[in-house]
Amino acid sequence: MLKLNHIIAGYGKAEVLHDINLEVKEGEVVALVGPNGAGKTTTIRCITGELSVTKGTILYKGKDITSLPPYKIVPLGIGCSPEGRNIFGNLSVYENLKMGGYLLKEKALYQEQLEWVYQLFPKLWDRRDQLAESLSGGEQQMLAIGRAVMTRPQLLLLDEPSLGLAPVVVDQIYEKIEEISQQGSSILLVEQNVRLALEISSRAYVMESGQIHLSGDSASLAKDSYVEETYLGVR
Amino acid sequence: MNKKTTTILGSLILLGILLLLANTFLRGYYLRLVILLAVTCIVALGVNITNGYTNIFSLGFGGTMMVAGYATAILTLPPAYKKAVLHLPLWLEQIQVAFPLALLIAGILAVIASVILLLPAFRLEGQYFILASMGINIVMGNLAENLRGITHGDMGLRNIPAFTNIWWAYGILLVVIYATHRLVNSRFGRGLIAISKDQELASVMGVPVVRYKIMSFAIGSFITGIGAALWVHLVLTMNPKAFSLVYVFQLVAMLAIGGIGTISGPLIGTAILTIGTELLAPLQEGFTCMGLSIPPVFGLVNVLMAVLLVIIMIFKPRGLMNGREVWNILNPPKKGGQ
Amino acid sequence: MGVLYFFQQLINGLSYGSILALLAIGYTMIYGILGLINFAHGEIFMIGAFCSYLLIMNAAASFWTGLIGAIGGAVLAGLLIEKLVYGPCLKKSPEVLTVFIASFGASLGLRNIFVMIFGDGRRAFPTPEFLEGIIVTKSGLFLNVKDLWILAITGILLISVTLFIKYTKVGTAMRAIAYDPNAAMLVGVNSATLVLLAFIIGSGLAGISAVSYGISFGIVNPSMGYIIGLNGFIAAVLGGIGNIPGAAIAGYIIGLGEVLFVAFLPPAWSAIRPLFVWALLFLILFIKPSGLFRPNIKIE
Repeated sequence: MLKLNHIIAGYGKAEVLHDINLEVKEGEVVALVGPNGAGKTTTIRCITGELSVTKGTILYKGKDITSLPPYKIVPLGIGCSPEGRNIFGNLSVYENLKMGGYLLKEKALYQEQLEWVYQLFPKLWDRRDQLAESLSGGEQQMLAIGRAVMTRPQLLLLDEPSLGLAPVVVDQIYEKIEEISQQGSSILLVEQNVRLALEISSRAYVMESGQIHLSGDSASLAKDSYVEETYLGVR
Repeated sequence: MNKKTTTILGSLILLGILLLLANTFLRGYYLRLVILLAVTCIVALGVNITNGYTNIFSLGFGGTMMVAGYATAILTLPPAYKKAVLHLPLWLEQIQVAFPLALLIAGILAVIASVILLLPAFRLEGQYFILASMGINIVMGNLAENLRGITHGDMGLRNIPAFTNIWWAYGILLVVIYATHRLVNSRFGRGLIAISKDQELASVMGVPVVRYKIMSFAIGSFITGIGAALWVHLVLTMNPKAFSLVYVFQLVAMLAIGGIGTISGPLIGTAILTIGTELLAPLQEGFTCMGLSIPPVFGLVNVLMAVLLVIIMIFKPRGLMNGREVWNILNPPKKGGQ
Repeated sequence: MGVLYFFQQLINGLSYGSILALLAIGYTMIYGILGLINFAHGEIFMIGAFCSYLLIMNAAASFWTGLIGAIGGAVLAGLLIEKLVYGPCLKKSPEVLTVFIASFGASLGLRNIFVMIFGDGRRAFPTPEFLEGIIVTKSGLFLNVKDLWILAITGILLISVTLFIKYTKVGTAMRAIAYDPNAAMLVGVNSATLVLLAFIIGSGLAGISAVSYGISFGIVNPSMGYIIGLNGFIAAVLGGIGNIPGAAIAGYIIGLGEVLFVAFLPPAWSAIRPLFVWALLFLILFIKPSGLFRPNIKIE
């Protein structure tokens, strides 16, 4: 589904990603974990087209999307819930979801998706007329994800969904992510919470300082001694 | 003597000779132009301290210059004139001060005016502050038109004593250049530059941001106040339209074209706009070229200046000097300079 | 002086307020979507006025053709400015101050091009016959037909724009971009197209405002955009920058306020008229530094 080949990218003169290779197969949940500043969000930005890639290619379903701008990425079936949620604070919850469905042409499909998202996140239905600004952190995260899945994307990019949220809320959100995955979307999940990420994913990449340090299936990675010591706090 | 001192001394002597020649041989109009150039440069350097080095984009200096302009006029006009035309308290009516003192007082009043007028606006963010500072100009202009007892309204004040000559103008210009140079390389100056890049970071690093900002305002106003006074004693009149928003924007254009944050930038920008306007002005009157008679087109010069401004903003946003000084022109621009 | 006089001035104020409201929306829309003050918006207004003036005076066009000409001319001017000034500037040197100065340069340039071609004199803007009448109500109120026309047309436009912004997909997208342009791109919004749309709508409204000004004040001249534009911009700031209904309301507040202020001011003080707007601005900014209503941008 998604393939990153030898990606080199950065901001201005600073190179942040040095030769990144990763892959998400259809139906998979793949985790991208690593410390702060490792380049995980930068990777997401390269995929969405927010950031220009210096070298390398990004293939989606075989098609080269490396230099496509974000508004051309979305129609291809890629949805993104960015780091920091970035919901439209000045719009209502409903309007945020409406924006999520911006590209949906048929009214019927749009209605269907809207209902599905409300079902997935009942709290959003409760607060549908509220200004998104006034939502709690957890609700904003649900809104961000809900907005991202309005187009029923085949590939969902989630950047740090657990950031700044209480554990109870995080668990709720991860339940929903699981549900979305079961409905057929492939997911690339960037997470600082390594335990959660490895629990929900089938494969994972460990990124450090702009390079893929380790990769493999999540179950074995969870037992890997380096991972255990560095990220899971197990001695 | 080392090379640097020799160069500076040599340039000063050269300048002195040029000024002497100008003063002796130039006709009234051209001489005035040369002096006007220096005076405008002084104002530009003054604005550069606040808008340039400290990066507080304020458009309010027109208002403070008005205060200085009227102050120096009132202080130096003959009492008989003042009695006839204005409605001043007796001590102001009778007072008549020498030029240097008038300059000084004008400068100080400009500082006081700027602190009173602009300080309350400090709590406003970027765009709002710009708008408020524009408002100050309009309000001051309006006050000047209406407080006829002090300013003689839109009839203005005339026959102001002609004190500004080429030596005063260029002398003060050199002093201002030197002062700016010392200021920039001082601790205060470095603090201002730090504030211009990132206020919060500067504050965290120990720069007393609020105090420095106020000081930068004060110094900038002082210099522009003196410039205003020099101007008044050059054109010999003062009215509410002097230092209006139009003038303010012209100054901003000069700084933008030349480049803020350096000493050469404002000088070059001022020179280009002032001399350019004068050179191109005849074009506006209409002329014959190769047998074709081209009619007068007023506004052409402004259009050309505007186009130049836009082009420079697009392609060289830091101005022509691009953050470098003329004497460093062969060196690459400072890393991370403004 | 009395109730009648007050209502008379009320209508005048609403009429003037309509002119400002339409202008203010243009400023606030552009600021909302691009984060820049379109200094040249006043000139777009002026160009619209000139277009209709020229069509009516020199081409013997009807008033309605002139109105369409005003809209067309203004929109063309707006798109041209976007293409030649803002587009390149935002791409190459997007710092706030640089764009601001470029914007001011555009304003100066356009104004002086028209000074060059038409001279800085005032020209009389023709009011069409059907708008020239006066209706006298039973209570003795004198209503200018042109004022009613201005109010009606502005009212319709304001309602349309508000509905558009609030309920249509594109309108919502414009609000979304104002808040977070990045996130908007991530849902598939092509901001370039919407930017053009903002310019088209803003300029079109300015064109209509220009005709209203023409029949109201009867004058066109190249510098007209400057002062009115400034007042329009103040209205946009007052209403909370980026907030479209806010800008319109603020436009009416300023319009009403200025007319009523002058109407009830002793004649000796009338020279202070322009100060009212600024005094109001300073007062409100002092109490509420972000404007009367919630600005449409992300507040950090």
